[in-house]
Amino acid sequence: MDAVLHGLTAILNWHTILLCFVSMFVAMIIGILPGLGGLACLSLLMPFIYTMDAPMALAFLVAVSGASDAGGYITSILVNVPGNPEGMATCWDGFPMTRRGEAQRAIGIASMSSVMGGIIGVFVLLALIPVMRPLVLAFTPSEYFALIMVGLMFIAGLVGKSVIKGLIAGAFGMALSFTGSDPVTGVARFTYGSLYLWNGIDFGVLVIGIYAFAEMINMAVEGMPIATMIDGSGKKGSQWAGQLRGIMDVVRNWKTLIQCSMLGSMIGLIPGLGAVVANVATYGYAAKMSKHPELFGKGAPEGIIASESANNARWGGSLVPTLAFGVPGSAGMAFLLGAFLVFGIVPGKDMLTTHLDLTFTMIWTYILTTVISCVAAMVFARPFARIALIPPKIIVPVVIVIGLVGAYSVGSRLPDVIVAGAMGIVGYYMMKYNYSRPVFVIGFVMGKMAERSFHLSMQMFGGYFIFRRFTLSILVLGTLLTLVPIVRAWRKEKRSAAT
Amino acid sequence: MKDMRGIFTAFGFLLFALVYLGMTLTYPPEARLFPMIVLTVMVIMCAFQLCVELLKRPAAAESGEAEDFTGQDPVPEWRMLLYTALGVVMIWAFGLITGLCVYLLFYFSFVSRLSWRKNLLITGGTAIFYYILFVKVLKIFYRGVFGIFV
Repeated sequence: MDAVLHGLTAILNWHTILLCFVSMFVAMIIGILPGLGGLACLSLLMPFIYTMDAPMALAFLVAVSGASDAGGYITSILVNVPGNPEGMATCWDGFPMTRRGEAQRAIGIASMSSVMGGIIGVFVLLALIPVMRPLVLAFTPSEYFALIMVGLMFIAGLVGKSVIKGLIAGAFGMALSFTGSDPVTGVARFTYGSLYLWNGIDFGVLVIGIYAFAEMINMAVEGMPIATMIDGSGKKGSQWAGQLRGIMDVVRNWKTLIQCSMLGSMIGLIPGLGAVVANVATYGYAAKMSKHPELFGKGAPEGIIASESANNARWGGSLVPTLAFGVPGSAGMAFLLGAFLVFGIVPGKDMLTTHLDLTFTMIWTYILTTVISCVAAMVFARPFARIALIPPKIIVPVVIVIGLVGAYSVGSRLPDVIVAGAMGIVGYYMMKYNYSRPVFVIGFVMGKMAERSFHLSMQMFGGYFIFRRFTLSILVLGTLLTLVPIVRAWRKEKRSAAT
Repeated sequence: MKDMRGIFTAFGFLLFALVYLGMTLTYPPEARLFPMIVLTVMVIMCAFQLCVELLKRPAAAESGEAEDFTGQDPVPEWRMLLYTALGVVMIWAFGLITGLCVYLLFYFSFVSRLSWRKNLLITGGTAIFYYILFVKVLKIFYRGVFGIFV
């Protein structure tokens, strides 16, 4: 109970609240820009955490995460362009509703579903904390190592089109994480004699390059306008009536809301599945369970409820492996984990004991920002959507400049700007040739942790630590979970090639 | 025709892994153990991927429509990579805020070809915002090699 109250009081000061409002506003605007979304938003705003203390920084990142989702569904509904990849399924029913003049109703449905889904996801997290505590304490470094390896394999198998490319990206991320002093011997590795690299490559700088710059390069090369039109209800005053109708749709379909939120939360528990899978899987589930499945894809309110509630509920679910095991539940959680590293917070049992108040700070912030950003989305839907109409020839250089300045602000060092620029070019080619960037980021974040767990396991149990019962079970299960879908897909391809 | 850049990307990763693997040989055994394991796995996977890329069938002949769907005013890839690098150079040379202004003015004038009014408006607005946020509030500034302003 103390931790719950401490967590709440940590954000109830004007500094943090003002910061959350500013970050929400910026995150919503960036979330509206298709192609950027939550990850790019986090990467651009990440450098600011270096000037904050731990509770404020975590609240800031959580606020950004929550608010960018709200921005994303606005363009999904109004212009049929998902603001972020996890807004995909929202397009399928949101835009048809816009076409028939029910844009505000769709926004009302999405907003209410986001809020309720986020709250349900948090309750799932709270319910799991007491259960996770004894489980976490039973884990030795050997099991941590196995979980990290399995998480990486699993993520590589699910995100992106090719498992091998995903694993290459993950290994690449891990290799870059080895830069700097070795955690065991203190030897400087891969520094090329440069003092700058002694502390390793900064996470904030890396993600600015690999996400923000890469996306901007791609947008400029494609020259695609973000959107060519926006639509919305035309009559004055109809905005609020439409949104209220949408809210009532959610209340009427409360069973779909709860089921899809729970499913989204469960999917969030599994590292690597993330919001895209939550989005699509729950949409499919809702369509199967609906009394009128034929309406899905043509403007069914349940479609938006399923997609948006799962999107936000999976946040609570993905926080569980992140806090309890230090294995990020999604690419967005990898950013949070990066922030933990910046402040010297070690995920694991500490997050459920000593730092439980920090955990609750994040939870309270998420609830607060989800509610406020959804209300803001409803109020500012139409003007926000106009940002998506800004052509790439204006957006691209502005975002590049934001990124460059942001990269410098991390450590006030010029080499950070160079690293960000270089990673931008690398990230562009990774994106173009389907080497998964989320897996790369997760590999980078987990590389040092994996190495630490590896060395501790070697010291505690010797070289055969992977043959310990629990460790081996995790490794075998994880390998099977990764290989089975690949084998199935390969067999399916063979069969369709034969026919 | 095969996508050579896909092959070069795979080769680039393989080269990276090999170079890093070579570098680990100069470190003490404990410092090199885990990186060697990761990089060895990476070399094997990259070699496999390179073989896949080399053995891939060339893309089907174009039917008259452009293979890559591009919109209005696309920027050639090599140029966009150059502009990104140019941004870094501008910041290094002219400092944070001045570099930002120079870069935006350059990009809007020669790449986006905006009118001078729009150019100045967006550049000025961005510069003012960043000056207030970074220089005044966060006290972060860098004058650049030429140290013109801030």
